[in-house]
Amino acid sequence: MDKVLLVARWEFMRNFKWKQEAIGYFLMLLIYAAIFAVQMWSQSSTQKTVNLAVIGQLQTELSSKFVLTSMDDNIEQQFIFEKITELSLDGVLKVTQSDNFTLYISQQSVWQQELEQALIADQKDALLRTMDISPEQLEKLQNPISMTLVNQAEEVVGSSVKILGLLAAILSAMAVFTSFGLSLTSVTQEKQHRITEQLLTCINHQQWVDGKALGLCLSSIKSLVTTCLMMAIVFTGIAVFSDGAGESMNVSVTVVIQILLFCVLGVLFWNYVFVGFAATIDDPNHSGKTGLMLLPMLPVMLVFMVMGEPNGQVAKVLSLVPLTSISFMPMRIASMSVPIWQVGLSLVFLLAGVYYVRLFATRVFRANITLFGKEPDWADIWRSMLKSSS
Amino acid sequence: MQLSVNQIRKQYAEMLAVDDLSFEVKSGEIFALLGPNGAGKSSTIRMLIGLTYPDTGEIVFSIDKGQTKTQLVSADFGYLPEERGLYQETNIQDTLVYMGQLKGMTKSDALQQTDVWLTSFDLIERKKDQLKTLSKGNQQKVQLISAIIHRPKIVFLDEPFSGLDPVNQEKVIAFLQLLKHQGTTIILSAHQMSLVEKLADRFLLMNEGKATLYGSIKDIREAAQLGTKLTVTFSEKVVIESFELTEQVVQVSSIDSHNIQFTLAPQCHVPRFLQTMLAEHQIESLQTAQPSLHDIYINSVKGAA
Repeated sequence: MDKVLLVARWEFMRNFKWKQEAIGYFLMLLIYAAIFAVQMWSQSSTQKTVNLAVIGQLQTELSSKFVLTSMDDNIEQQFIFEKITELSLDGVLKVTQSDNFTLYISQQSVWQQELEQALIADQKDALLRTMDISPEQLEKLQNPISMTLVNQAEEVVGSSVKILGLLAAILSAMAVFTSFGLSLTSVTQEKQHRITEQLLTCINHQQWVDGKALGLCLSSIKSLVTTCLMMAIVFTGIAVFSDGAGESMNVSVTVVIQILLFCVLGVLFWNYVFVGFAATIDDPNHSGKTGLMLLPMLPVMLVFMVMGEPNGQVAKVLSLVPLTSISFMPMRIASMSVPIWQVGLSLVFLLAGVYYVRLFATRVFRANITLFGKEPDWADIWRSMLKSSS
Repeated sequence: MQLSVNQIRKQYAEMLAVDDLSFEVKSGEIFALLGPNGAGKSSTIRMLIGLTYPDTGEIVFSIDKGQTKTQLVSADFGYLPEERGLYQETNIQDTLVYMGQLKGMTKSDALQQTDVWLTSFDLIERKKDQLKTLSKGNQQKVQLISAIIHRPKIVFLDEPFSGLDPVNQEKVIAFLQLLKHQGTTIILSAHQMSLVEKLADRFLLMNEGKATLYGSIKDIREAAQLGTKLTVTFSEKVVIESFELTEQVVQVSSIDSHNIQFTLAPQCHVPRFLQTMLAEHQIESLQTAQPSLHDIYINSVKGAA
């Protein structure tokens, strides 16, 4: 066990480059700050007044932002743009009918949308008056009924937990993909640098695989935690600057623990798969096996398909199968009160899945880690998976 | 620690890598496995350290007080593989401490030994550098340190001189002699015959998985049946064609117009041969030499081919 922890610590520390991470996150914060600053700047520098010449009779009363002047009705279109330059106008509005306008401009700007919205609103009011419909009646027409959803599950799991479920699914998918990259680099580098034989005189294959899977799992979860912290910082920052009160998260602690448990076990499950399969790859740049990365995408994609029906048959069954329970059970836990026996059974199956994937991954790893040159094909991998060490 | 190998055999698919091989390695000696590429040296070493297992036969390690075991634990031995490398982007100290810890050392002990060995190899100033920043020779030194950092009782070195320049080869020889002086048993394979000849106590020459010659250099010379080499300096100019190959002379080669080298057959009576030569030529001087390990090696491989 000491050697497993030693390998795990080594793998974790190899990927823990705090200087690069600090620089990366500092740059990310800088980018967020720059986006925010540019947005504020853009808002503050929006045009205060708009000089607009009107051809024809404008019935609508515009805001004081628009300074209106009249223009000769008979002016020909080809001279309108000359007038815009000559009189330093922002635009010329030609009123053909009460509901038909042409706007001549020399450049695009935000005020043009504001003008259009004001004209639409005014025309809408005029139409309502003609039809003798009050604004209340219009509202009723647009929303004929009102229905409030009272979900018992929200009482049990918390009202904000749905967001957490979605977040957990996305973040665990991110952690799985991070694991893929890390394990591929870690194992193939050791193969390419011919460190394998030296290590095998110190540790056995099982210790090596366990240590790697554990260390890389920790690295992925560390990335996940730091990403969450960054997101929390950014959202807090946005809430503070946008003067929003920031809704407090109403989430049950038990639910959070259950979701995290599935996430961690799921990432560990996939790390074993990746470590085993990475041993079959000599050069990741020229290997056809990197397509394996698509496999963990499957449960993530499937979960989005059944998100609206967390208690349906598909969601129920797939939340028990180890390969898909990683995404499905957190989604169900986040959306409803899942019977405890289902959570327990899923957890037992997932633990069994981790045990067996560990076993098979080690067999594949053992058969391939010291082989160089020709990569094994899928049939070879399948055979090595079935072959026990004895 | 002593080692006894009895009739081991290893087959990979269609290829018989090691065939009925037996030998012994005494405690504290330097033992060299020699042979051409594909002779089975690396396969033998890999079986000795337990990376692979013989199909048949037995490997027994004798420890102190008559205790024996058939497989070593990682703390007992050091191994430098033929195809070797270490973590290129990790600093040298961290890598050596990690390897030491994997072999059962405490962190403080591994740190201390790292400093000791890096100092003796003039690399202590570079201990915080990444391995990839070192020259190839210096990288080899770090790899050698990683194999012996835990002070093993027995060390297996597969081609320890490959890729080293003459200066670094001498340093490695000195390092191996130091290890031997400390009581470590060393088993190595190599192609550099002149280096191995002055370093090893005993040898095993292999070809096609089998032992062809085995023992000390004296035993091997006797078994190889290669006669003395005689370099004769003549007073007058001579041409090589005037000397014929006979049962007494197996090879004649010209060094220059006055110097000719004769490789004599083991049964050749040297005084009688010289008498015959003196009847026809005037000899200024002569030198005799025993066949080198290189000659024996080449002869052994040629004979098997």
